[in-house]
Amino acid sequence: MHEQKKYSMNSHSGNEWENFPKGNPFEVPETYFDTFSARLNKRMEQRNAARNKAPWWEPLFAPRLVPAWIVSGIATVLVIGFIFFRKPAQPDIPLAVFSESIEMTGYYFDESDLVLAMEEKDISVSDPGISRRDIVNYLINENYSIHDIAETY
Amino acid sequence: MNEYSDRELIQLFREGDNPHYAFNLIVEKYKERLYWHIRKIVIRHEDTDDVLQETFLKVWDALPGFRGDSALFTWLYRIATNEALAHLRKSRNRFFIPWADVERQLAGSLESDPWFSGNELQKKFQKAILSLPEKQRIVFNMRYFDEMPYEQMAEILKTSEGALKASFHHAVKKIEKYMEEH
Repeated sequence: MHEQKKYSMNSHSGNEWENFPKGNPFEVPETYFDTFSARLNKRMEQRNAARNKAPWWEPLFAPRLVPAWIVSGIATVLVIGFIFFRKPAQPDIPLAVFSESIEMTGYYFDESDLVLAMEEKDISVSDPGISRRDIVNYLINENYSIHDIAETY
Repeated sequence: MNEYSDRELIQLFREGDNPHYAFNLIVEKYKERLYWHIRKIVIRHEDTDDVLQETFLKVWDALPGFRGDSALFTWLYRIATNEALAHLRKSRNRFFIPWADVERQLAGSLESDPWFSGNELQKKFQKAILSLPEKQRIVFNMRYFDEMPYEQMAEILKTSEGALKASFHHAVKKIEKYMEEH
C-alpha cells in the first residue's frame, strides 16, 4: 500500500455553499512532488534529442508557425482545385474523326488494335529492321489521324 | 530554501548565466499549485502528471518571449488551464465521444481511482462538479477550492469579473440541485 500525502484544502464558512463537503479527497503518491523535477528534466532531454533528429523541414509545420488546420485547409483546396480545374487529357485525334471512329467501330482504337490489323493485312516492309509496330508508333508520334492509319493498314 | 519573487525569477531567467536553473526554481515554486489546479480538471493522477509536464514544457518554450504583461503566476495558470482543457478535448476526439460522456467517464473513474480517498459525500460532490459545463467547473474550482479572487480569475480566464460571479452562482445552484436529487 502506498503511503499517501493529503493536500489540505481551505475551508469556507458563512456562504451559501456551507453545506458542501470540506477537504480535498484527491491524493498523490508520497514522493510524487519530490521526483517531479527530475522526471521533467528527463522528458526535456528526450524531447531535445527527438528534435535534433527531426528532419529539417519539420519546424516549418510546427503548430506555432503554421497551425495544422491551415495546412490541412490549403491541402484540401489544392486537391479540390486539381480535381475540378485540371484540363481533361485530350487525345491528339481531331474530335470529328474520333467520333466517326467510335461510330464505325463501336470502340476506341488503341495501338495494339492497329498492330493486329496490320498483321492481318500482310503489309510488306522494305527494310527488314523496321517492324509494323515501329511504323504505327512513328505515325502516331507524328500526329497522323488514327482513323487514317487504320484505313491505310 | 529562500523563495524568489516572480520578478526575481524572470530576471534570473533572462539575465542569469543558467536559465535552466531559474526555470527549475519556477517549477519548484509552482508545481504543487498547478498540479492541484490541473487535477481538478482532468481528475486522474496519471493524466494530471502528463498535463503538468506538458505545461512546464510549454512554459520553457515560451519563457524567453514572456513580456511580463501579466503576473508570472497568472500566466502559468493560464497555460495550465489551456493544457488541461486540450487534454480533455484530445480524449474526446481520440475516442469519438461527446463532451458530456467524457465528464461521465471521469465521474465513473472516481469509483476505481486509487488516488481518490473521499467518502461517499465527497464522491457525490465531485460528481456534481463534473456535471457542470467545463468553464463553469473551472470557475467553481478556482473560487471554491483555491479561494482565488475574482480579479485574478478574470485575468487568467480572460473574462469579466461579473461574468465569473454569475458563473459561480449558477454553478453553486446546479451543484445544490444535483446533491439534492442524487
